[in-house]
Amino acid sequence: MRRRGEVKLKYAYYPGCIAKTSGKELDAATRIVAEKMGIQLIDFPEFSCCGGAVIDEADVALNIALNARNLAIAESQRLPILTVCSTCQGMLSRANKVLRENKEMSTKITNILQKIGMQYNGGTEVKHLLQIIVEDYGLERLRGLVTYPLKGLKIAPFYGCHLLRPADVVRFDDPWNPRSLEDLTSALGAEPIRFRGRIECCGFPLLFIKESTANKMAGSLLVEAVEGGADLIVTPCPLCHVSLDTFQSKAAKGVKKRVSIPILHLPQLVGLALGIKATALGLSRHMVSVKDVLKKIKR
Amino acid sequence: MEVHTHDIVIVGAGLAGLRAAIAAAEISKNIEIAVISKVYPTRSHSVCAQGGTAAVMREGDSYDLHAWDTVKGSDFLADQDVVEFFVKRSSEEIIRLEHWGMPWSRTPDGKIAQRPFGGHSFPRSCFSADLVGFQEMHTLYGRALAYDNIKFYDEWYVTSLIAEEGRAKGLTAIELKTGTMNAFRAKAIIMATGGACRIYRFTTYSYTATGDGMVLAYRAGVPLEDMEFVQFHPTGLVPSGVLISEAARGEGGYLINRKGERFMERYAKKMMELAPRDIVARAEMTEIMEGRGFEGPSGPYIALDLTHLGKEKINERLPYIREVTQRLLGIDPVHEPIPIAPAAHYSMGGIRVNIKTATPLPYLFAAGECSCLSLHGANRLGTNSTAECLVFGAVAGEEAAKLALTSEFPDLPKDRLVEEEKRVFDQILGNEGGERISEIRMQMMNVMNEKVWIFRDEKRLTEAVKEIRALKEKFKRAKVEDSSKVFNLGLINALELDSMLELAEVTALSALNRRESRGAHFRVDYPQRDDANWLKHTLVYYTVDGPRIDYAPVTITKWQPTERKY
Amino acid sequence: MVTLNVVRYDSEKKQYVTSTYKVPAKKGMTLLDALLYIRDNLDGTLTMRHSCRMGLCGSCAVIANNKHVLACYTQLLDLSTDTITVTPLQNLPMIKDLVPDLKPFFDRYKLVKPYLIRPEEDLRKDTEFLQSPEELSRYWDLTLCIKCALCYSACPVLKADKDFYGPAAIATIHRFAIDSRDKATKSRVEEITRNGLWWCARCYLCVEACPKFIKPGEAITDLKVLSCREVGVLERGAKHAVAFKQNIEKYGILNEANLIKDTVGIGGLLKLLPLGLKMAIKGKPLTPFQKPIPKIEEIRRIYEETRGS
Repeated sequence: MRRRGEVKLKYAYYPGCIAKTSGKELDAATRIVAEKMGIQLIDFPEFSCCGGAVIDEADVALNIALNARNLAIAESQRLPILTVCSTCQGMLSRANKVLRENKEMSTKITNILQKIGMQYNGGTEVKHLLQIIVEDYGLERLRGLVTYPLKGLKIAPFYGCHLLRPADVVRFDDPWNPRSLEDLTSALGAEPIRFRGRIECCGFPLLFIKESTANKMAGSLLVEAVEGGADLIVTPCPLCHVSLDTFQSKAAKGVKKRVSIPILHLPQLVGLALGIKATALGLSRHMVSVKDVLKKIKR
Repeated sequence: MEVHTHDIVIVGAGLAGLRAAIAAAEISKNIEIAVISKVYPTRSHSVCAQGGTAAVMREGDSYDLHAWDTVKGSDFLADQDVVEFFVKRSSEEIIRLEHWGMPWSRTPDGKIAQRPFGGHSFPRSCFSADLVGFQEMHTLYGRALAYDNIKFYDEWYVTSLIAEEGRAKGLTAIELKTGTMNAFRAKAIIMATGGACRIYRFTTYSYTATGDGMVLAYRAGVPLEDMEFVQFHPTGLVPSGVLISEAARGEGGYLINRKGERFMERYAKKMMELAPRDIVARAEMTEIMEGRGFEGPSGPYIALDLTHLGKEKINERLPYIREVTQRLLGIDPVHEPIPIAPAAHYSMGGIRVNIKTATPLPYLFAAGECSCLSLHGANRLGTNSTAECLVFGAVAGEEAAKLALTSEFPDLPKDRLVEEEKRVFDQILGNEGGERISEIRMQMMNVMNEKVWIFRDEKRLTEAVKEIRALKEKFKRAKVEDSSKVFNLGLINALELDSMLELAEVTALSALNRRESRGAHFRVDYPQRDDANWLKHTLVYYTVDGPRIDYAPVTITKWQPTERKY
Repeated sequence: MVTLNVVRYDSEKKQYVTSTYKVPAKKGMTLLDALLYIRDNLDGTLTMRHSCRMGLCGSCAVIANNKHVLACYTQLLDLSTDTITVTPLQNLPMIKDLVPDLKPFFDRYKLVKPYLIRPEEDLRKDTEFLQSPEELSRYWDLTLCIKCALCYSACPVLKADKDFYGPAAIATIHRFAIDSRDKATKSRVEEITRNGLWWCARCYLCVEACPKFIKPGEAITDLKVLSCREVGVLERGAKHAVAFKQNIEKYGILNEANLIKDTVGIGGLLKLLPLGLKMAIKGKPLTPFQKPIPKIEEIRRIYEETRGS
């Protein structure tokens, strides 16, 4: 849905779990950037975890119910939801789809919500920040706000599975040949680098299940980006950030290669181009230093 | 040359081949069975069968009725002892498959469902949505993997049958992955390589179903029987030829000409669209020839109209048909009629076998479409072919196993192996001629499509035989473009064309020879059925001087030939 | 005219080379039609598997413009009116051109016992096992797998770990586990639970790749749920899912420290201590102490209501 001109960009802000705990820099960057762009974020501290693409492996109905509640909270204020995590985007979108199409589940969930005095009528739109920038805000408008174009930077976007797939659930970008992050990169003045694994999985779900495989998955992605000539990787998913940044040294060991490449959250990248200070964007909290990138763009 | 020794070697891993392998494996754990297939088994053409499998299973049906339908459908050319045996064994195959995991479509009370089908006077077609061949294949393949004594040679192409001292002894085959020639030595060999319709341009067949096994047997001295009887399926999707199952008509679809008429009323008033295939195909062809067909960019066609069936019924009973027309043509049969035309679909003829699937060459058996028992005579009823593969695949497996348990391994003549390597790698692969395989193949397909099609006459059949023979000569000067050792598809295509030219010649010659019309074979110059002179099977033998024609009588048990009207 | 860049594996040089062809394209032409046009008219050495050309045999699986497709089921002009890059399947050893070695794929299929398992006496029954249309519909979609290996090629777990069974094989296990006639559900589920069921990363690449819309990734997730029920919480993956579930009941949002502890145990947690310290230095301390979110009673009520369902 495109909004133009005098339109209020006001969203129920759904940070997810990581942005509130180990990934606080994502939350900080989001708030600053949203303010700069004129996007109003309304907080709901009672939002629960989206299930992380893990809870529904133990209990499907529970996962839908938790998300139905989240959707109902936003609906009660007639607000669409803004997410900053590919996985949250996927889980909330999935809940919307299931409630729309599965009558049995929908009835079950309605009954459960009733018990806590809530009701969801299927009216909450859920959009990731990337989607909002591309669809609601507009890349041209963003380009107009850029004060420090990221000229000379080669950036490898990494999408995170749940932002793209299943395509009939998320309905955003082309699942095999997405371009939204590359277009955003260009709008910020930098050069996008495409690498094979940009739509593949970062390995995060397997980190505590089969670490060797998770490391190899993340490691091969890092190598592909580096060999493609990228200065940094940008990702719209904090779980991918954990896998690629926090666990980068383990990933490198997993593929027996020396790699070092900074990983940025999406709003951090946008923030840099909008002239926001690196410290305000929480860039010092990353495990892999962002210093070289900042030097390159003279910040 | 490496020699692989197995008690039984089966060539072809379609329905008949897999069923034979399982049947043999069940006879004894000590029997070692090899299944050689030029494609991975689940890629066999059998997966394309859609409509169903016929069996007598419910109150109101009877073996005699199924047999009568089959004999009448065959225009009285079927051997009735074979038919009577067949109808009695089909239902146990249905149950056995079900026990192995086959997802048959069900009635509300959980039993295997059956639906009507063309030419059958009782709804006895067991089905699995519109994917019966696919589901049967995956059930059989899955089951075959459970036996330790079945070994698969996947993507191996058999180039010759070694017959010596009056018996079948073994085979030579190329392992595609390495390009090396290997030999197989066996106590019993079963051919299950499918039919010959790829000699035509407009056919429902997969690219890989080129009838190689028929020629392997033919060149080893086994006669090919009733090759003139080619079934033209009424509904091949235009322009690809992809099969649109008869089930579409079984569930109530109409055939409409350009004037909007359900023209079958003029050709088979009682059974209409569900008349036997030869009658419907001729009806469609007549409509087209008389100018009542639709004109399209790929040629004339008839409309198959399912729009009155409703979305729910189509999604439940004909989901695959809906999918394939959408994918290949962008047409949704829920809203629009489907463009179809008659397509070469099935070989009633094939390697001559007796009721126990034994060919005249000792130690060689054949089952499935590549064989001719004759179960289908001059025209096959729908849903009888998948049933034939199951029933006679099992018989072939059982007979081969019994033979293997009481036989010794033969010795392979080394000079034959050397000869074969020369023929394939020097003569064919190493050929320096200037002719192109793809061109010769297209020319063959055009000759067959234009001159050996649904309506035949002396003049064009004679021309066809002459032109095919000229193409055979041309083939001797054909160059294989791919010279690599590994996975040389070009070499395989050349060997397949070699087989197909042989089959084209035999088919055209048999059609020229039979001066009557019966079942699927229609002679414009001899439009009547002539039981007095022609109630017999055609046999074609390979000789160095060219094919030799002979005949065999039809076995009649219960039903004397009568007029075939629907 | 459409340009086709075909990436082919040279079996002698053991490397990939690209051949470029120009194909006259018209409406209705499939990618397979284009490849066969090349074979018959431009380059007789171009090798690819193909057979049924009607989307049932699975032979012609390739990657075209980064999409995992069946060549026979894909309209050429839907891919591009300009340039199409065709590459062979991934995650498999190569034989030649666009032909990968499928042995690893079919070996996996054999490993999962893809046939109905019943006691011998049952197989001798001369009537069918009853199965209602509703029972059939539960597993029907999963029977449509054409063994094309597109999901195997797309799977990023397989890219890194060839011990993973792959989506098609695991979906096959689910097909038999929920076939009401099968009597080996428990052992099937047990076997895959111990052999990598939980290594599926839920990335849905297989769901996008499947030309028959079987959604193998969803079948695997369903199988994980079934596994927790049938076999219990034995494997790390199951422990993780249950721990995550319990974690949210307690806190409302994730408490990472406790989740990791509950998944990998104190031993595993200690192994991660060095990394944990580094994170603390950077300002990302993980603490087991966390306040639950406001209105946590609503969350806990939801848990109550869904328990035992």
